[in-house]
Amino acid sequence: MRPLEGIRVVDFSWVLAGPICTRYLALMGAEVFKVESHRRPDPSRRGEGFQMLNQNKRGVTLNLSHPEGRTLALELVKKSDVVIENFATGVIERMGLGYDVLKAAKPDIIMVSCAGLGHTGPEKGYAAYGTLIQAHTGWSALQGYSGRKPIIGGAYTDPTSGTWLVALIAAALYRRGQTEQGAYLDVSMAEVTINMLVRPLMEYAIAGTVRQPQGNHDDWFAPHNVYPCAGDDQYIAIAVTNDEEWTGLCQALDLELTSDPRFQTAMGRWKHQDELDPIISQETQRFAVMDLFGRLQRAGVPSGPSFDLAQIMSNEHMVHRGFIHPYTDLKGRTVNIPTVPWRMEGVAPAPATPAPELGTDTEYALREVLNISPEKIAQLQTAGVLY
Amino acid sequence: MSYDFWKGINVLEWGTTIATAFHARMLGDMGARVVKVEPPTGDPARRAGPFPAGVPNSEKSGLFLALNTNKFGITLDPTCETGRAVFGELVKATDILVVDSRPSDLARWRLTFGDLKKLNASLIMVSITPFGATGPYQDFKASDLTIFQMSGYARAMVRGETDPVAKVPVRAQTDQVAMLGGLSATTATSIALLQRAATKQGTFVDVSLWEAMCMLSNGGFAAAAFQQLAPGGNDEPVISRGTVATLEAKSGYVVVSPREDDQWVRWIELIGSPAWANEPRFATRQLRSQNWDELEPLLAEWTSQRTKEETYHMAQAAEIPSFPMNTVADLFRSEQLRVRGAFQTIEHPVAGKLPYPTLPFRPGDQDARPDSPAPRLGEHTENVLAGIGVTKEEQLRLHVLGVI
Repeated sequence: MRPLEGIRVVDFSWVLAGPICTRYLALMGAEVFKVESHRRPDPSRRGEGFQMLNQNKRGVTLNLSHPEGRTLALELVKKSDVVIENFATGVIERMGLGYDVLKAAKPDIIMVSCAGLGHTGPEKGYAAYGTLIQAHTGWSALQGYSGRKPIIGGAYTDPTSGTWLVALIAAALYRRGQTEQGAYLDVSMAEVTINMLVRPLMEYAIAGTVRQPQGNHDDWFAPHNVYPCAGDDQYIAIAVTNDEEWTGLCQALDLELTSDPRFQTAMGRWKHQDELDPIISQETQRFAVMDLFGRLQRAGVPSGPSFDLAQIMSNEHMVHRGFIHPYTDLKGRTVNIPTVPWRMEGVAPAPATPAPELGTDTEYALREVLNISPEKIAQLQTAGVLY
Repeated sequence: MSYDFWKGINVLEWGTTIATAFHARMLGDMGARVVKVEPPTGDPARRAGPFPAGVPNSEKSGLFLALNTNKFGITLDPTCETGRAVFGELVKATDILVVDSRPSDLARWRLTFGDLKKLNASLIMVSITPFGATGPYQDFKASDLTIFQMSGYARAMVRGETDPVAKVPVRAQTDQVAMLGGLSATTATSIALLQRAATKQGTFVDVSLWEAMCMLSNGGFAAAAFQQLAPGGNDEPVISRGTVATLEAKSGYVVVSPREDDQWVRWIELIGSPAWANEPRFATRQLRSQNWDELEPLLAEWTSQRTKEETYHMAQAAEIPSFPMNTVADLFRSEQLRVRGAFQTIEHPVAGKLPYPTLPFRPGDQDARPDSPAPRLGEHTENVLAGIGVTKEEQLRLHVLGVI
């Protein structure tokens, strides 16, 4: 049995944060109904990322602007435990599916509304994407190389928020089990991001300093950077944090530097790191990245190759740990992709099932969950309710 | 503010990493009773700062203070035989034990899940380590930088960069691997608690920082995997060049994302419908992305005459997604965050009053409790040990022996 078996989720969410959350829920055993319509499909259907984000979910299409479509959604909510949405603030209420309505239909429903800035405050209606929130919260201004235009980085706020939502939903389910109470949880993606910025926030609060980008360098340790290896676009990250690791690095690279007065102490290495980095780069280029990785680890030096995603999916350690599992989409194409980022003794994640096409499971939902007759389903189809 | 989701759940945190502390703090903020075990010399975060005026003080380290609110603090060395016995008594009264030692060290100290579940059959033991508790890399040495670089995300950070210096894969700074690992652990532990409520059985939760960090890329893995299967296949990434524009403003930068056609039309209208907007090279989303190098300076002509605050409010009034490129300092001036209560002031007996971020959600009708400050070193040792029946006389012995 999986931890969330028997839990049914109605998922109105789009693109990233919401679908990331419901993917975890599905892999942990929940039955997730992803609600879309042909008029407003999930925009992430444009790319292959959709396959992973929406694996193990059922696809339902409902025309929510049709009164009967809304009624069907509400009927589905009555048979469910959790509702999640990440529309702009106010949209779900205008659809007639706000928390008050859902709670009246199902008193112990757990509803999670996730929006850029949350559902209260003067800027609650501001249009937001996760990547913009990264800039807004000060996360982006910390990143990149010093003295250059700030970089946005990859998608950070969305996956971080999606992961947070899983913890929150599990906590709310636990609380419901103890108290029989549902919950309405108004989540702000900006505040999720701020929660991840403990160090720079405290630096400003305590010392009044605003941290600047520093590339791969560190406040205290050196050498601390990525260094080129043999071949094109291959790098290894090295982080030396004490004298022992420094000696190990010199041995692994056959560097005669331990007696160089500039580099003898941790303070010296940090102060002279701009002279030290090119010396190390000169040596690392002689090695293939995986060979150097093994060599450095044998010498006790914290290190790791700068992998791309394809390298991770074929990495021996990842495969050994069962982080990578096979996935076959509805077209029959099979690839290897990650599962959940934890192992739980006695609890295997659900084997991957394909992400749905639009409406793949509409009939199933109506027939099996809502007990609607085939004749009625056909009528709803003709009337444009299932759309 | 803390809530009562995990009311009645006892957490024992024994670790020295940011990931462990953040994980246990989240459980505490959500209502669990957390006891943090520090070595008698104190948690390393007490040395990390930032300190007021740069003067080290183990009770004033900002990192320690922020990662350890809502916890009881004791000192104990479970790695010696005498300390292990005390630790075992604590484990008996624990629902969740969080550790971050390497698997080989836990085996040496006889503190593996196999050892401890003999004391408590419903124990959930959470291990947070760089590579997880199994696999060929389990004892490898790692740091925030090396795990970040191994996750593939360092390459996403520099996507679209062409400059030889700027395109070298770069990490996001300030402990992001540890924070994401702690978050991932919280997710796993929360699910494990649900499982236990149904089965009454404990479990071992094995969290790998590397895997947690990889999950930032999420759908990117599928995109990469299908691309390998059919190179050049149909894959429009969610974020391509120019999807999010960082434009110069009067002071600093503003980000704007008129990615959909209707947003683009409103944006062009807002900036005064310049003639170039009608040129075919900017006609579609795809063309705008392709010709981004020419488009960006044209857009910045308008934004550079306005402050980042003016620009984003004007854009948002026209329903165009836009925000200022802020620093953390700007957050304390945000009206939105102030109204939401995103920061709270907590008073610590030594460090004084400081602002701390609150949990990132508002829970409808649930009552919130004010947070308690991080414990001083060993502040609750006496009370916690008395709670498991260690007498005053025995505590004195443990103290003299350097175990607590």
